[in-house]
Amino acid sequence: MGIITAYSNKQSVTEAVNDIKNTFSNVDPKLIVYFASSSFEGELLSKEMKNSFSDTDMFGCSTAGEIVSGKMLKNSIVAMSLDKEVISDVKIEVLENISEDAEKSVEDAFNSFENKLGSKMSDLSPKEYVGIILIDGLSVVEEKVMDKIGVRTNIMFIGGSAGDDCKFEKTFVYANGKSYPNSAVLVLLKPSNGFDYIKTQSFCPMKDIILKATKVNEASREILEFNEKPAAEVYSEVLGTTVDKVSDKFMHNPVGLLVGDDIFVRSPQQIKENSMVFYCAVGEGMELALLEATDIIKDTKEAVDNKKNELGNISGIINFNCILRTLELEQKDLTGAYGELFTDIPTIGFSTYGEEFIGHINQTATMLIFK
Amino acid sequence: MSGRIKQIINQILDKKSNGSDLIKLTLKTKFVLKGIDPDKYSEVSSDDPAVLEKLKSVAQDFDVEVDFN
Repeated sequence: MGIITAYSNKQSVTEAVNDIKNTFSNVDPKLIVYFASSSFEGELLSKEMKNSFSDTDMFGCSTAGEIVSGKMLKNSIVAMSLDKEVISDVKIEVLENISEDAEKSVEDAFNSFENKLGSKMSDLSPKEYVGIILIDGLSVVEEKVMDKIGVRTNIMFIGGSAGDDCKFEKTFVYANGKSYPNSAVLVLLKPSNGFDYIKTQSFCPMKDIILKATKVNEASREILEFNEKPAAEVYSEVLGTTVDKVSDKFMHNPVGLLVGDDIFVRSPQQIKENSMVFYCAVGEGMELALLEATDIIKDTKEAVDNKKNELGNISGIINFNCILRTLELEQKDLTGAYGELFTDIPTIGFSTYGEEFIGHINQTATMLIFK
Repeated sequence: MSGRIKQIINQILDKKSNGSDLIKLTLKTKFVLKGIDPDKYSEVSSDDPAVLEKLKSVAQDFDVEVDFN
């Protein structure tokens, strides 16, 4: 059967899980991935999912909106069943209390992976293995976790930061029947038929304007100065507006690290006196391009179509789509059009509080593609 | 003195990429996220002590032995 998706809009955990169970009644999943609105009680949901699929490895997280083939949803549960034709091996590790010592949490998880696999993470082939990361979206440690992963392995870890429907109170990751706050789940997959990625962000550099972060507080994701002047003043000036009105520009004019032709977006969150707080950290000395928005629907369609043409066939997608993209789609009444981009492909995903792809990024959709 | 930064970056990239261009590209992004853009340095770039110090830390992170002398 390969990859099958399911979803439920029922508001009772039991009824929603029953919907998922019924949809998956004729399949034999090796792995189930699920994303659920924070309106569902996480501990109960995790238990009921595990009770329903007791022999199956599973993981997931709370969201700020869900995606399933053809639809963007709210207050729902979406799930994907992947059978042994698709996944030949899966290993799951939970990193608890990540805000205390993120690096050590990754080290412990990687040591455990290595014990289970009998080989070093640095020796695994990135063509055979891929990682998924789901992480507490309010932990503010995504950069540390991704940096540690990046130095320990050449395997790509792709994923998103869990959400809580824009309440910004508490997010959860789920693994094998339990719900975890202040945690991350790392999943190592060995897909049977190969895999690929899409990373798409709808921005282009604006007038070649480069802002150099000359004074920052990385831990609080704050840029105090651009080009040795107060950050908020410089950012406002290049956009032709004033500091008191500049937050109106955040959504359409974030900044980005340029790596060749690729953009790693950093989205402003708020003005704090004359400094700027972002949704991810910027290191001192980094040069950032001022960006302007392009068309999310057009760009995403192009990215998915190109990947389809390149691979010939896509058997499934897990889509980690930034909440800021979702909010823009909602403002423009385009959530239906976005969902429809995935109508013909078994897809699940969620609206994230940040995306992970080599590092921690914003206003991006990162997608794991199963061939 | 010049060119040392590029030389060390290349050493780390070569040792960690196992000859794969794809891995090298990903590693370059990891360098940029750590605050060092490999493409900004050439054989004639001056040996900025601050960048060399940062590279020491990057080499340690990647667990790569590099001769900084």
